Amino acid sequence: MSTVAPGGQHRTGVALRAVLALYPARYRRDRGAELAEVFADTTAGTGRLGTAREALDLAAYGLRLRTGLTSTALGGRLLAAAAPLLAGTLCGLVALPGDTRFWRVADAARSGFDVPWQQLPDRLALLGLTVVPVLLAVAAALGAWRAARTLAGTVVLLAAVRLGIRLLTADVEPGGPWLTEADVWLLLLDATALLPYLAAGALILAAPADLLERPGRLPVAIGAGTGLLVTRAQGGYDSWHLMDGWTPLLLLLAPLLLILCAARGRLLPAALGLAVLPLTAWFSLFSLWEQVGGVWRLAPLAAAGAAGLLLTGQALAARQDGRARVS
Amino acid sequence: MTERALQEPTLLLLTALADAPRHGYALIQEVDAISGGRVKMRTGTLYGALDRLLQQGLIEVAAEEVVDGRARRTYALTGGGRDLLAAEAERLRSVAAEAQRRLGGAAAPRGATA
Repeated sequence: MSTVAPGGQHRTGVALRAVLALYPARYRRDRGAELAEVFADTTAGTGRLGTAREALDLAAYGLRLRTGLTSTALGGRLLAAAAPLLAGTLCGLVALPGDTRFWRVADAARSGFDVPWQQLPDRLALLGLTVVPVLLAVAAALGAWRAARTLAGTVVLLAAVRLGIRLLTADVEPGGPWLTEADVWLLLLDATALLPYLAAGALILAAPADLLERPGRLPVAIGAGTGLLVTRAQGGYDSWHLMDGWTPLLLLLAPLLLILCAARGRLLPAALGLAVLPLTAWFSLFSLWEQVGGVWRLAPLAAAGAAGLLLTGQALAARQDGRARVS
Repeated sequence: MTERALQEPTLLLLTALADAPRHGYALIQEVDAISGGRVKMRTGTLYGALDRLLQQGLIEVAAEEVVDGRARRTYALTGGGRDLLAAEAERLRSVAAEAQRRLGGAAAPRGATA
């Protein structure tokens, strides 16, 4: 069936071995030979680009299987349920009058291209992160998921650009590659503002496309309201909001506990927790780090919390499995 | 089984299996032919859809064999898959018939007489 030139066959073989390595061993044992045959047939006579596309598609499914994010796995179904909520929560990050970010956005909009070229990428990315999440929410609300996924990718890209610029332009102490404590603090504070975009966008992209089909007006609206609420509650470190005390812990633990509902098969509360977590996790961790007094003091607490949540999740899942077997 | 319309890749795959069991590459070719070349299913996407349809009980593995040293698994519609496809075909047929009827009876654009 396949007629492939020797060079092309070698290229295909190398690509295929690399891609199949991404699949879980059990699936590879069961389906590896079959996948290899279909891959060989579909790439026969195609160029490098065709082979690369086919390999990427095969790799993507392998990664989904490996990470439990297929449309039949719990993780995939949870992400699909969370996707419209996530599209809404990103709108909750909108800059409102009175915010420091509002003035930055207004300044960037006013100055347009009339800034030194070194500042232009950051300014454009800032404006992009103001406009694109709104378009993403509209696309998700209308059920235009192909557009929504493209916009989610754009959000991830813009956030990565801003984060990269922050890292590249951080002040370095003369004579050494080390950042001062103040620089690290500012860098982390900036990161807490950008990581929500990166994480939420990446989660939308990771949701199985075949489960994203319906318009999600209500979930998008709920997500936007919740996003706005937690963003206001979070406040940020400025002269009005210091956000110390129990609030960061609450904003970190509450979504995590909601996500555990997935282990009991309750996807909607789990999806809400998953949609809120990208917005609250980073700043909460940052605030806790500030309060506890450093990474090394926070690490044991974080490890204990993560282990507790993991064990609780496993216990809940085991109980759910037991019930499913009985029924 | 479901009140929602089937997604196009699912509909095309079930249609490709309606007349005979088929193996993976044959399904890709059939989907390409049925859609008039519009839908080109890639290997990963195909197996994602097949795994989902297997889990939903809409298709089953009809045979596993080695032909000319090549591993080949053949997939077929289950009774549930056949019923679902028949219901979807009927839904599409009635929508298409209604569209044809209205197009045939449309003498002037609505609002022209208002």
